[in-house]
Amino acid sequence: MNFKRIAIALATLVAMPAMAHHSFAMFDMKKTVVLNGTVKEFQWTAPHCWVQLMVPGPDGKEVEWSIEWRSPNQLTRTGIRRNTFKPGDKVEITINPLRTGSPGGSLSKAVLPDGKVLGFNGGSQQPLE
Amino acid sequence: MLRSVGLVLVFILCAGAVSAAERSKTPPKGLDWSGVWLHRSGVKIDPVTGAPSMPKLSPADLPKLKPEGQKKLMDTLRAIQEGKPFGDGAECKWPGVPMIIRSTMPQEFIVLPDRVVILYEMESQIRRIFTDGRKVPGPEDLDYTFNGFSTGYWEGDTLVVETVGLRDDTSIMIGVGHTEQLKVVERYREISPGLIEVEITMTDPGTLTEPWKSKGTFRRQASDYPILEYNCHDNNREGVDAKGVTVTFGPDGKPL
Repeated sequence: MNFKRIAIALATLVAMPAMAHHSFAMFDMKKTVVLNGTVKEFQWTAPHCWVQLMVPGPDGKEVEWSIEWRSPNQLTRTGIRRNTFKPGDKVEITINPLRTGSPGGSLSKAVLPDGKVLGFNGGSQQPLE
Repeated sequence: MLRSVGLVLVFILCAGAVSAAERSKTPPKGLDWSGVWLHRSGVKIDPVTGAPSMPKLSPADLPKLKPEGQKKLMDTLRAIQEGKPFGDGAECKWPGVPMIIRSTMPQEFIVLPDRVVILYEMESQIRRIFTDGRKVPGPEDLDYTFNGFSTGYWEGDTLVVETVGLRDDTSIMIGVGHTEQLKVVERYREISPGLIEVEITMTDPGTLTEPWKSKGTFRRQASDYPILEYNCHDNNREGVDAKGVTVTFGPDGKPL
């Protein structure tokens, strides 16, 4: 391990209490997948919100994707509400996928039926602390 | 001779009075820390990628650890370097003191004549800091808990908090545990209007080779800033397996 990489990793450890309740190591943050599907359920829950999205697979059969977002607390403060995603909504969601290859990931960008664009930090396009 | 004894006595009495004034049970007149405060972590989370950017770190910012703690920390670092998930609170365990001090979720100070209460959004935690002069329970009576037993006093405009009775299965930072000997001292002061600085000093002869000092700052938020309920166990779809690896669960509760 070179010193610079150690320093970055250490800074992560020192800062982590703060950030989330887990690291994002299970997601491949360098990779993105664009999903077009229909919202089955929006779980407005702690520690994370989840969008359950039905996406047609290559064989035409629908696959249920689990898409993790930030907590209702963090999202509320950026204007997101428990009905931001409604069952039946047709949406495009870009995710950082699970490394395991299973149908799940971390929400990076979402385009709502009315064209509104949301990001990892919810309705805020600013870096959040 | 009598006169000089008298002078010495007056001097001692004055010195006593000064030190008594330095340690007060009540805050200075006019101090108002009411409302919601938010820790400034220095970490910025990119709105698109979710990637955190970290504040710069110098070697002085890190704890000086005994060899076994150093090894555990290096193991955790290696796991991060290799992109492996690692057990770091995914099970929604309460952070406890000292980790909760700098939670980035908001917190509310309630300063009372005999205590300071801190209400944290994180896990709806409460800390009561007794400034009424009560003593820490003796060794037979002290319980070891997540947030410990906190006593405090006012030194001018600085709130000094001393916490002991901290259970040894929580962390002082991710990847670094502690023993029951841990003592945490926090010194809170409003360094400019709307900005509170905390200096944290941890001593633990079981883990640290010297006291570990660090700082944090909190900014006052608007009076209508929402402080909400946060119960991490509500719908936690992450867990940690026997190897310390984070697992994500599907809506049916089965690992994804």
